[in-house]
Amino acid sequence: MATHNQFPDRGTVGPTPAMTTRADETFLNYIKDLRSVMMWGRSKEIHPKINAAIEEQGLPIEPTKESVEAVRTLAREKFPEAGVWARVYRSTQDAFWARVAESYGMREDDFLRMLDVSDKEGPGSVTWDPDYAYPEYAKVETHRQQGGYVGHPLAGLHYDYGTRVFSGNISKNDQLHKAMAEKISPPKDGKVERIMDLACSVGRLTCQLKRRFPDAEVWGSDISAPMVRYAHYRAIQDNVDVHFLQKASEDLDELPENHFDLVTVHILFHEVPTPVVDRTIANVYRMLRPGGTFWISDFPTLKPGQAGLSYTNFLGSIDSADNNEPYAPEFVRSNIEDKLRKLGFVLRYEDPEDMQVYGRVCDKPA
Amino acid sequence: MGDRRKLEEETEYVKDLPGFETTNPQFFRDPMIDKLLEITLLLGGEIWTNRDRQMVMEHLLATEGVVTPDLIETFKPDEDFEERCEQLRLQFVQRIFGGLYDNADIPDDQNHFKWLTDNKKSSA
Repeated sequence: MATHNQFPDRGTVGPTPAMTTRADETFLNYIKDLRSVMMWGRSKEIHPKINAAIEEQGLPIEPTKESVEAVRTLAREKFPEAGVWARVYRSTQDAFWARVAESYGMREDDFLRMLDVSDKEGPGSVTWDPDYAYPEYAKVETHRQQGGYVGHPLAGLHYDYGTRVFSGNISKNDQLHKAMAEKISPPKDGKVERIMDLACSVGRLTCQLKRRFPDAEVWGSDISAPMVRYAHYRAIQDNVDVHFLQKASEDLDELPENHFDLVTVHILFHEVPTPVVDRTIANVYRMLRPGGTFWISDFPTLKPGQAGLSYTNFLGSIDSADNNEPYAPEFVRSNIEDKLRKLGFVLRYEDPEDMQVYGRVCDKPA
Repeated sequence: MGDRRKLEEETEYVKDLPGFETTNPQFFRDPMIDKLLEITLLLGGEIWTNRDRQMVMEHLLATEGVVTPDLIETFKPDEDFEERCEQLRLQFVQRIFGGLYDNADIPDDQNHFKWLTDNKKSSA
């Protein structure tokens, strides 16, 4: 779909519109490699040193501004390499979201027209409310994305390209989401006629679920109108017949009871406050038909009798504060397994070794 | 959205959480070092962007005999060009910024999240 006439058509990267100029694309590739060499490639050497000092000094890692500042102070005073790591993280994070927004911003009117057109096209559909009032908790600029998930009309487009820079090569051709869709466990009776992918963002997992279960009716829901609108556009580019719905996961009580065979949710729970997590899992229990399956991939949480938390460290501290992940600490300090059991779910696992791909699998009793 | 008001009350506390609002963190004793390091990181991007444009221009001149702004913008590199570009970019980053660490070699594998899609289960 040609979106502009003022700039040369640079085509797409998969289903994603390319950056407006080669300079933008080049700059973002540089940022990706800067993070590889100066951040991801160094974490294993730098983090254990400061983490050991945190433990030795008994610094309490709590979700408070004072606690975070104590960790920053430790880096300032004794661990300049940790300071470099954190500065590269923060500055590159801000730089790439700004550049993505600036680049697409040059064609903003064209992209908005593009979404207006695709709203009415198929395959699949999108349903959203132009007057939706977002709850305050959702207005965070998660991961430093400008405007966050709900505050910019092109948030979906920004997220799609920005996460390519954020996570690098794993994002190519949606390979992470393909791997997840392949590994998701269906209900034990094998019946998969209706699927709901919660907090679907740009619909990568939603589309891969349709590929794995081609006969199922597949839905993706997200609180953000810009996300579901762009998810629908993206699905059209790949000719995937899925339906997108703007709906906060805490408001899913408006959907029918005992309706879905499989509900999936990928990395939502560490990005919303606890009251939203609790309402969401209660809604999922209601929406699933007896024998239906709930699949969750997210951060690890407390295990029975666990003394420590993986998030009580340097990265956990500055990631929540300086990468705008305010809700992650409370999620990792909760016990999602206990909550699921209390609602009536039967867990198929004791301790998921790899929570991102294999996920937590649980069933509503038949 | 029956209990939206109740939810707003229950989530009132989030405004005090670190990360809810934008911060301006300082990771070095002198805040000017934070600023200068950020400027240097961004400046590296501008230098690399110019270098990339020069490589594209040289390639177009060698293969097409002509170069225009539109040809640069719509240039689709082949695999060889892309690989060479990535290698030079990684070396550029390592050469300029490696000195900030005692040892900042180029990682052998650029896919730092590969463990997510490996078939073998691994701890996160």
